[in-house]
Amino acid sequence: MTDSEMEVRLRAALSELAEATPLENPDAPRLGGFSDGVHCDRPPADRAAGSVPSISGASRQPTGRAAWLDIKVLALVACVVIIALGIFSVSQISHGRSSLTTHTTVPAPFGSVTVPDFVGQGPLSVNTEARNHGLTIHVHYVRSRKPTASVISQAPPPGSQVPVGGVVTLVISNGNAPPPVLGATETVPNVVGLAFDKVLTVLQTAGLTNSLANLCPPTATYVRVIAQSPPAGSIVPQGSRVSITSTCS
Amino acid sequence: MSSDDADLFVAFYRAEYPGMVRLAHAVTGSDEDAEDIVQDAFARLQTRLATIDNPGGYLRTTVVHLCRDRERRLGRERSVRRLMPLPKSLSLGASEVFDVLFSLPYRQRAVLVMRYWGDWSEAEIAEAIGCRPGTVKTLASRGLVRLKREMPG
Repeated sequence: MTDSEMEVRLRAALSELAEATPLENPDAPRLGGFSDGVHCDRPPADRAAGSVPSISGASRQPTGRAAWLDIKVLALVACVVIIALGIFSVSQISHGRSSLTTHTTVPAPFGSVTVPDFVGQGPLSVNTEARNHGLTIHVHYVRSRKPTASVISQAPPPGSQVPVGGVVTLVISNGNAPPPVLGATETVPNVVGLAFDKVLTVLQTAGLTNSLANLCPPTATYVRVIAQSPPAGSIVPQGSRVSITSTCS
Repeated sequence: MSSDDADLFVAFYRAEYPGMVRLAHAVTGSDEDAEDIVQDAFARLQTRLATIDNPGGYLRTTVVHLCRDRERRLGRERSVRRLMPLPKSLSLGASEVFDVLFSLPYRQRAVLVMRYWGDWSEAEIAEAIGCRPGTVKTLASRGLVRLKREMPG
């Protein structure tokens, strides 16, 4: 057996073992003492679809008494909102105009939120904004020259409309990339066919950034990449932008 | 630990945990010990994460050191040592590799795992096991030679 044959055999065996390694849920550290910050709840259908990478936050579904309390709280909030809207409409009509005609901008569809700009933020502000907007955050770590734990890029982009509880994928720097090389180039990887939330990591790992060529409707989510520009195999300057087109759910 | 540090730690934990457990499993041969070692490493890192320049490297080094400590402990407790069962899903070829790999001296085994599974650079491996990069080459070469010599077929 030659050295290279042995190396191939060893690599294959180690990959098999890695695949077979039983892992506890990495989202449930046994250490305690810290808050579980980088996730919000997301709908069960989303988890069932398997669109979530293993390092993303796990959902906590309220059960038993807690679930009943949640329903009561939601019902109470809904009643207060309905009463407030009723009072507002009556006051508008009493002033001789319809409440509908007083809107100068089209409100966002019910149940959707605007994605804030997470790029450059640290974990604390990401968590706060995600909670305030009712968003689910998926995190990918990549080697980068950006400060450790800062957000490098995000998808969907800032300003997009996503459903409440919708997923925003963030690429976060682990701060240990090699120093930049002047005039360095990168080969564009093939991202067509990849799940949308994997693309950011692939591009970032290749030293590239991304831009979206299409926007999904507010109530839809990005699913799979169907086109990219420049094409795979192109040689581009380090940090270049790759435009991707994604299907919508 | 501030809330900011805690959030950073959680994100770091999620990103690094699976890879570290797989590394420790491949080095020690025990999935139970692997998880204990990685939890221990994260516990050591927990309060210091924000003050470390390269937390990934620090974690790797800690995991590798804890694997070595386990090895030494097992050496002292050789009379109670039991053969760790490999996952049943492994192919015959992979099982043969591990039968020999787990009989190698600790440093040779750790270097082979880091090099051929983790694809780490020689500098990273050297930092993790506390030796010079040249020594990493020697350990990998000797480990491969012994694997070739003792592997059936």
